[in-house]
Amino acid sequence: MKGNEAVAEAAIRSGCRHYFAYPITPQSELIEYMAKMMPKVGGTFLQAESEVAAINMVYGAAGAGKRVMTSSSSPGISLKMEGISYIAGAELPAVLVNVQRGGPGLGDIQPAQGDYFQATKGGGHGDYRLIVLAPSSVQEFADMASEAFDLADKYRNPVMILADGMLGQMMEPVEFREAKTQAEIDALGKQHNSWCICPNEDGDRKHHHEINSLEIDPAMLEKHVEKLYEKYAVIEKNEIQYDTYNLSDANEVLCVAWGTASRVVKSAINELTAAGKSVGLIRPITCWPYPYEAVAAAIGPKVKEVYVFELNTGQMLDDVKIAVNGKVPVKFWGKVGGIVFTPAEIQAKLEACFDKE
Amino acid sequence: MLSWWSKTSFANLGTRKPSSLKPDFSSDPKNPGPAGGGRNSLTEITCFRLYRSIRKLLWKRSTAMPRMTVDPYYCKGCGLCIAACPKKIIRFSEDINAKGYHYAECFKQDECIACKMCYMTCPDVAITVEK
Amino acid sequence: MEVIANRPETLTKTPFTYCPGCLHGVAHRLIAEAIDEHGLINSMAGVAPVGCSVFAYKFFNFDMAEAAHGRAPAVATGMKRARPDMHVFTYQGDGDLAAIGTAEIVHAANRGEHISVFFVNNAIYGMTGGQMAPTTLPEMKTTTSPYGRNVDDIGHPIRVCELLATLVAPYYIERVSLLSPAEIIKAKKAVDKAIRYNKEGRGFTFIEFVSTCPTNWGIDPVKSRDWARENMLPFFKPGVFRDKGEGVE
Repeated sequence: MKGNEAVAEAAIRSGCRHYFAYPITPQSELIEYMAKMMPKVGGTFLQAESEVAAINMVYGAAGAGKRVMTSSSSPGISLKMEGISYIAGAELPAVLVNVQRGGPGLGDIQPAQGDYFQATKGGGHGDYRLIVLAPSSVQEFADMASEAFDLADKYRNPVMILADGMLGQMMEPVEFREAKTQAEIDALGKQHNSWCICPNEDGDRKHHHEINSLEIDPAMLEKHVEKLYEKYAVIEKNEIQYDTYNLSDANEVLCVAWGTASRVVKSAINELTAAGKSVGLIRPITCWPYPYEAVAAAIGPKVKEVYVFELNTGQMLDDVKIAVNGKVPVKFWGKVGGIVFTPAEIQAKLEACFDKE
Repeated sequence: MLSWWSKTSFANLGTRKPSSLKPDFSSDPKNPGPAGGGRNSLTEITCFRLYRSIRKLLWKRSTAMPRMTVDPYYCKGCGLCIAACPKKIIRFSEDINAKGYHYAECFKQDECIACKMCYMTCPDVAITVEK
Repeated sequence: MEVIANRPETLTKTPFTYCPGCLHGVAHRLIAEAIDEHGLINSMAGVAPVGCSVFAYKFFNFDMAEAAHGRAPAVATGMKRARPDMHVFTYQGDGDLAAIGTAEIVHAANRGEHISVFFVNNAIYGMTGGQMAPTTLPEMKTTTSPYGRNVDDIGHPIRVCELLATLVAPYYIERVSLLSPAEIIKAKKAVDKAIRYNKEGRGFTFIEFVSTCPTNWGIDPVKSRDWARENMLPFFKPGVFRDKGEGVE
């Protein structure tokens, strides 16, 4: 199934019944799938007038305590940034999908990884964090939909799935989890009733819930941000995910790559292993919280350098440098313009590391 | 005086008690009499109605006390109620509230007609009107 | 002795943060009274804007959301679609609705979202200190039109009711004014109708209030109503622009 459609199907199975978005290449299949399928399950599909409107509709539905999703691609995600900051500030659960394309500006419609900074280091204004999940296969993309909703509800925080145009467009076999039953969905719809916008069901008691990120009193705002960061500390402790490939004490180079780039690196590593050269890979699955310790720990005793490969000019590179902390040199090679590097190119770069001796 | 009053047809108007002074049509189905019981003449009915409205007016006047009250906690001394009052019985107080505003106050409550214009125009919902 | 007019239950006890004489408070009260009279307090939810009424979520005694500037109709759309059993309204000023939020209001109206929008028009930006609004009148001096609004350079004020009345979907659109008790009584009827239509699920309802800004106009509260009457009402004419419930298309 196509990545864009798989994540939409997975979202519906996870009990998402509200989806607001605006068409943009390369994720239009996602919105089209939702347009077809949401009404079939009695959900809301709404093509908003802009990505700005869409993210604010997400804010509204999330404020009403329901599982809600939006999706876009890089320029559209930029438009959503104000709304994302508000969602994080108001502590609302929401799932956002970014099917990245070449940038900056209007860029092009080919896959890229240029939004790492935007997703993990801010994007929106103020002190907040997005939980960022980076899939590298259609199966992972679909599984992450379900995970994202669970994480969003658990922590009352927006969660972003940081995919790219290649993952969105390619077709791979997918196995979906069991769809949620109506009873489960009803229960999910009530889980946030202690704080969300909901009717007063117990007679005339008037509850007054506020969905708000404004706190005009500086002391109160300080407390609020501190509370957010206590939450983020818990997330950092519990939700880090990463994957390793071919890690061993024989590694002479450690690669760090995420998303689609990691697949290409894996292929290159296979070639090198066949040629008797030991290269390991660590692939962060959560870009935030970033697996700093795991990356540091993955540096084997023989590793002479860490090589970061990304489809950008070096964004996750900064996090790797923090993790490595000067232990060994960190190198970078990337491709931009929406061009995906080939295994042969990666292989050549890695072989150059071995040739030096 | 009182016992005479209670015995007259005036006092019995509007009740179903048969008056001993008048024929009782109610027990004869073939001769029900004029509509409304038919016991009383037009003059009596008019006089009764006059009596009833005077009684109501006297009763209301004795218990009614239209008044407007401004809660100084909310009032910001904007003056809109003063401008709105048709009887011109609201003024700024000499006192100030906790926020430093000269809040509005009614200085002639017995002239209040409970028209609610002050309440209508008050942007701080500081006013209560009673009738 | 009975109380015939008192602070509605649907307003919290928090004093309004508006300037003395600002008519926002009157609009709030009319909305609160209508909600009370229709018994909707347990199912009502409102969306506050950015502007002087940014704290509206503190003043209404039911669930409220604070929206980003201009986005209240989109937030209300999300809320109503997620909780159709609730009755949703937005409350917005002229910058929020007619500047940054133009797309959101036009599209929410065009979709015929089952929400009520209360739009307070005082021809200026209050909260940020008196800048020009899309509804600022020609030649009117504001801090960002210090030489007067030059219509040749930046255009004429926008009449939102008329604009929305060109759309098919909106159910009820009326412009009212709050400039005297008599006008407020008329406005009360309009607000009551909007809330009733909302309760009955009839569709998109929109009320524009012609209001004042004594502080930024630099005129006292009582006289500013006269100024509004002389200058705003000729351009922003009160009236019913659409009422499908009474056959006005």
